[in-house]
Amino acid sequence: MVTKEELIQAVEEIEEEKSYSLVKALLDEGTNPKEIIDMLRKGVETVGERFNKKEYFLTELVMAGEIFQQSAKILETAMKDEAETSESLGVVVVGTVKGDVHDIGKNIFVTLLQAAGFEVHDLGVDIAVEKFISKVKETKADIVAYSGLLTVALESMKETTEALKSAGLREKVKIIIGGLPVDEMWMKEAGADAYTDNAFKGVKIITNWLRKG
Amino acid sequence: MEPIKEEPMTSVERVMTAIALKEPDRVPVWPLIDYLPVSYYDVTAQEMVEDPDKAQEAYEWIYHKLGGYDIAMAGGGMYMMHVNPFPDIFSMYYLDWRLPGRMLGQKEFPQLVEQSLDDPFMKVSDYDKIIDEGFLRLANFKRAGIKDMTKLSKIGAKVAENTERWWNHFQVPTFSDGGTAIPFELFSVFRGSTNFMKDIYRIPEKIIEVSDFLVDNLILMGEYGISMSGGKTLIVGASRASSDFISIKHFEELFWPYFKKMVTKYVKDGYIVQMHMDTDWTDRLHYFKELPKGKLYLHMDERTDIFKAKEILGDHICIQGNLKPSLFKLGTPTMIEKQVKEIIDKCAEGGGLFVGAEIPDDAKLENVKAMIDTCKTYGVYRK
Repeated sequence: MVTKEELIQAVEEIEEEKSYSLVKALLDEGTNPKEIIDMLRKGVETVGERFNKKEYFLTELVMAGEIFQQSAKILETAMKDEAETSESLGVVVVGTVKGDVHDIGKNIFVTLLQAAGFEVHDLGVDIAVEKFISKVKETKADIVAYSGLLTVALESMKETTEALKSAGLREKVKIIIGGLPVDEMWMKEAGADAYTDNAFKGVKIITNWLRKG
Repeated sequence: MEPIKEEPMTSVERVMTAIALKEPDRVPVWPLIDYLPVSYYDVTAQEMVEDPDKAQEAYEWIYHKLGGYDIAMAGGGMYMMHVNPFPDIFSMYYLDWRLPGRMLGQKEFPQLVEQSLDDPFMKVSDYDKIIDEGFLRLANFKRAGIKDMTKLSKIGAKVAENTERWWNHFQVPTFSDGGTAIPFELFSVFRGSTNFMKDIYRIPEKIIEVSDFLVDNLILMGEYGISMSGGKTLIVGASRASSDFISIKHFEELFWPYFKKMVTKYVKDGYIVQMHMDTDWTDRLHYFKELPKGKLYLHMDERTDIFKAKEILGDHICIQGNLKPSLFKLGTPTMIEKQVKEIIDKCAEGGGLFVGAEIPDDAKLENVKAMIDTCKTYGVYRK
C-alpha cells in the first residue's frame, strides 16, 4: 500500500519519476483521483512554502508545477469517468501586456494557479487591451493578472485598467500585477489592487481575495 | 563634439582607480544607456542599431546633454551584438530577436522572445548535437542573410573608430567592446528558462558535459569579438543562476566553475571585465572572492543588496550599482538623489565603487541627471 504521505513527500522532495510511479500505484489501488489531486496540491503547496523560506528556488517551483501537470495527465482518463468535474476556485485571466514579451514568471504563475485549482485563461505575451477586455467579458473573470518587465509595460497596464473601467468591468474584477520590477509605485500607477514579484505569493493573494469574496 | 573637462581626473583615470580599489577624485557614475537617445534626439531605434555614425552622434549628444558621465557606449555596438554569428544570447542567428525596422517599427526597442515551452530553439537532443557537430550547427544563417554578413566588417571598423574616439578624444572608457556568454546562461536562453530548469533536474550530467566541451571555445569567441572592435572591455553577464532562479547546489555544480574560468582567463589576458549580474546574487556574493583582486567590476541591479556586497567584497572587487531602473521613469530627482547619497554614504569609503543603473529607454532625463550630479557633488572624496 502506498500512503498519502509518500506521494506528498515525493513531490516535496522533487522526486519526479517516483511521484509518477506513486500516482499510478495509488490509482491502481483504487484511490479516488480527486484525492490524489489533493495530495499533489499539498506537495506543491509545501514546495511553495519552502520557496518562500528560501530553502527552495524557482527551479524547484517549476519542477513541482511540472510534476503536478504530468500527474494530472496520468489522472485525466480516470477523472473523465466521473460525471461531475470539480469546481474551480475562481476564474483568472492572465497575460503579459502590450509591448512586452517577457513571460518566464507569468508561465510559472499560470502553472501554480492551475495546480491550486483555478480556471486560468492565459492570453500569452504582448497582449492588446481589447483582448483582455473581451476575455474578461467572455469568461466572467474574477481576477485579471497583468505581467510585465519593461517600463513600457507600465503604460500598457494603465491603459488596460482604463479600458476595464470604460467597459464597466473594473468593479467586477480584482487586478494583480506581476514581474520582477513591480512595486507599490507600479501598482498605484497601473491602478491595480495588488502586486507581486513572486509567483507563489501571487497565487496566495488571489486565493485570499476569493476566500473573502 | 568636444570632451568635457571640468574635474581633476578624466573618466578613464577615475574608472581605473575605482577598479583598482582606490579612491579617485569622486565616485564614478555610469548610466547604462542603450536606446534612451531615441526618446529625446532625432534618431530612430533602427538607426541606433544599423547606422554607427548616427548612433555615435546620438550617444555623444546625450553624453553632453547629461553633462558627462564615466562610461559610454560606442555607436554601432548594438549591431555587432545582434549580428554575431557566434553563440550568444544577443545574436539573431540563434534567437528570436525582434529588432527595430525588421520585425518592429523603426522607433520600437529590441526585445528577445523567450523560447516557447513546446518548441524551443534548442531541443534536448541538441546537447549531443553541439558535441557531435559544433555549436554553429544550431545557427540559422538565413535569418540575417548575406547583406548583414557583408555589413558586419564595415560596421565593425566604425565601431572600432567610435571606441577609440571615446577612449582618446573624450577620455571615457567604453562599455562592452566584446562580450561572451557562460554555457549555463546560453542553455537557459536557448532552451527557454522553464525547459532548462527541468533539464537541471533531469539531465544535469549532460549540462556539465556540454559546458566542459564549450567553455574554452566561448572564451575564444569573446576574444574574437573584442578584436573586431579594437577595445579592451569585456562583458560577462548572467542573470539566471542567481537566487531568483537556482539553488546554491546547482550554482556550484553548473554555473560557478565555468563563470570563474572565463572571468579569470580574461583578466589574465589583460581585459577589463565587467561582470553584469542582474537579479539577486546576495546569498552567493562570497564566491566572487575567488576571482582576481582589484581587476574587475561587478554590476548589480536593485535585487542584489549592494551594502552586503560592500561588506563582503569591498576589499576585493569594485562594485557598481544599484538603482532600480524603473525609478528613472517613475521616480523624481529627489528620490534618486536620496538613494545615491545612501549608496555613497555606505559604500564609497576606500574606493571600489561606481554608482550606476540600467536606464530604461523612456526614462526622464532629469532623473538620470540627478544620479550623475549627485555623484559629482556629494560623491567627491575629500582627502
